[in-house]
Amino acid sequence: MIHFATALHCEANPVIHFYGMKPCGQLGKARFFKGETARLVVTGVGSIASAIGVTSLGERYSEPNALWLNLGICGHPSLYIGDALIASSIRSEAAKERFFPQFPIATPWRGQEVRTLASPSSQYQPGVAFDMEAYGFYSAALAFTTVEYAHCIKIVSDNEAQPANAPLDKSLISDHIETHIQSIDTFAGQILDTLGTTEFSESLAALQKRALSKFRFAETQRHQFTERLRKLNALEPETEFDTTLQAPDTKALLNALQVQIDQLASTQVC
Amino acid sequence: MFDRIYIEEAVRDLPMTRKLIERFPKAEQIACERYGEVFNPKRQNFRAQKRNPALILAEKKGNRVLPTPPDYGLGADHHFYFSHMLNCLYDCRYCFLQGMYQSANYLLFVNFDDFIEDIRSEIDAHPGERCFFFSGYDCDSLAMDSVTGFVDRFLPLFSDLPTASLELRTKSVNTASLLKREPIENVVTAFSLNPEPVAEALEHKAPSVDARLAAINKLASAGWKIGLRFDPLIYFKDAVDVYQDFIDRVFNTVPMDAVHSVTLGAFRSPKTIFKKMESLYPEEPLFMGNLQLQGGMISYAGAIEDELIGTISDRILGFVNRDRFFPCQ
Repeated sequence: MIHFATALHCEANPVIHFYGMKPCGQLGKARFFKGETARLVVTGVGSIASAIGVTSLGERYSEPNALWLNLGICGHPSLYIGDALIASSIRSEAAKERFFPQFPIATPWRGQEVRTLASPSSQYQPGVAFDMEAYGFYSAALAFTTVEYAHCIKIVSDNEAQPANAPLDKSLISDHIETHIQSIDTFAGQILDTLGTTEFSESLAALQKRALSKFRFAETQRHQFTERLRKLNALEPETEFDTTLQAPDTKALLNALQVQIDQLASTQVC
Repeated sequence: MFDRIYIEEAVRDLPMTRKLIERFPKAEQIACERYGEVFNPKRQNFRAQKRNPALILAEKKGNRVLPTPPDYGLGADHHFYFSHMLNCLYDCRYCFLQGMYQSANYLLFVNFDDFIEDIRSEIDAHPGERCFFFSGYDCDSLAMDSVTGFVDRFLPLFSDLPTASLELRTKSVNTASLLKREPIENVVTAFSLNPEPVAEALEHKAPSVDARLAAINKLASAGWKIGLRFDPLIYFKDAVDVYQDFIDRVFNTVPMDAVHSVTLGAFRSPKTIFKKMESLYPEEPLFMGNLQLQGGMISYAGAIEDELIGTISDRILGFVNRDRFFPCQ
């Protein structure tokens, strides 16, 4: 699942279209959209608005294996308008801490420092992209994921040769985002592939259900039971362990599962 | 090899930093004030980073040379370790590094001169006593030698210091920098070894056992001292038989007069590190069964460990004298 955050509707529109998203609510300024493989929040402009929008999206949809992407425009002294970059460090003029996103795969875009400003600026600095959301996005996204799975992808909208002019050309911004959306989707898919997700096999899921209805587990035992099923799921997902349900009590059940794990682990270490 | 190099401000202008930047011209250079900004933050996923680690160039300030824990000695009067690098090219599933650090990026301390000075200070502080220095505690000593130039910088120090010894702990077959020079009596290249089934299942990205044995023989033939490190022993079905055959094979391959020391230890880990490794690789059978928690350490259940250590110690002692054998209890 990809969780996008954009500041503007014109940045969001190509993403909404690409992933076939539908509106699914709002909270304050934040507008939410969802599709089968991606969700999006339009946060409004600014670092704080971005942080609030990201937090709202994360709290609304609990998704431990999501990739968080901040997609938007930026200023850069020398890159061409329409070029994409990815933040390799993120700082704010308002905070001391810096973020260093990490990349489990090679990225298709050049990495750049992204500096989040409170207002637009044409005082460009070499090798630095200016934006208004990345820092807020990143601080909030790290409540839900790690630095490998939160990234800021920025499309250059102004540079020294063509500084920012108000008002923004919304249609041009949408076009720029649309140009890159396919490569963003490919990148996202490759990163998400690095996240392993495992569900219990049918037989273990059934065992879990029957055991939970048959035995009264203390909270610690329930945790141990789930852990042991997780191990069995990795070791021998399709084997039937129903005989363990004949155990007289939870302690015996847990012991029976551990015996199975010890035997299977010793044959599967190598 | 690297698509990103993080460069700490303090080392930006050091010759070694400049050389490494030139060596990897396509890598993006990312400035940081202190390496901890990149290496230490909590919200990192070691397993994900291990897929595409970056290089961090930094200065090690203080605590560069430290005494080893009491049980980790090779019979000298004093034992120390130092880490010019944190993290390893290889990805051994049993390795404590994956539970030790937040980041899997390679952190290279480029102020080699400070390490050398501190090693010299420890030797000077113990005149007439034998000091042993271990270099491969937090990284493989040789695996990245072609990048770090570690051997060329550190070995000359030991060739001038007869009361001091250096261990290069490795699984690497990257021995060119040793073979190009005359052997140094007080430098031991210590190879970590496990039988093929274990190496293939758990020592990801490391050279094959055959390649390691070939590298050992090349070094031995050139006159270098060799350490054999059977640590960690891994328990599995038929482990005792497999290890006994493996011990026979190793000692029938490696010339005995080249063997400086043999160490042995079963898989073990502090609980906190074990829990982190387990959470990173929840599907890994190594972390699932036949283990117990005792005194804050996770290790094999007593009978299993006793059998492994006992039988394999006996086998080893059929080839080497006790004065060269250092089992870790």
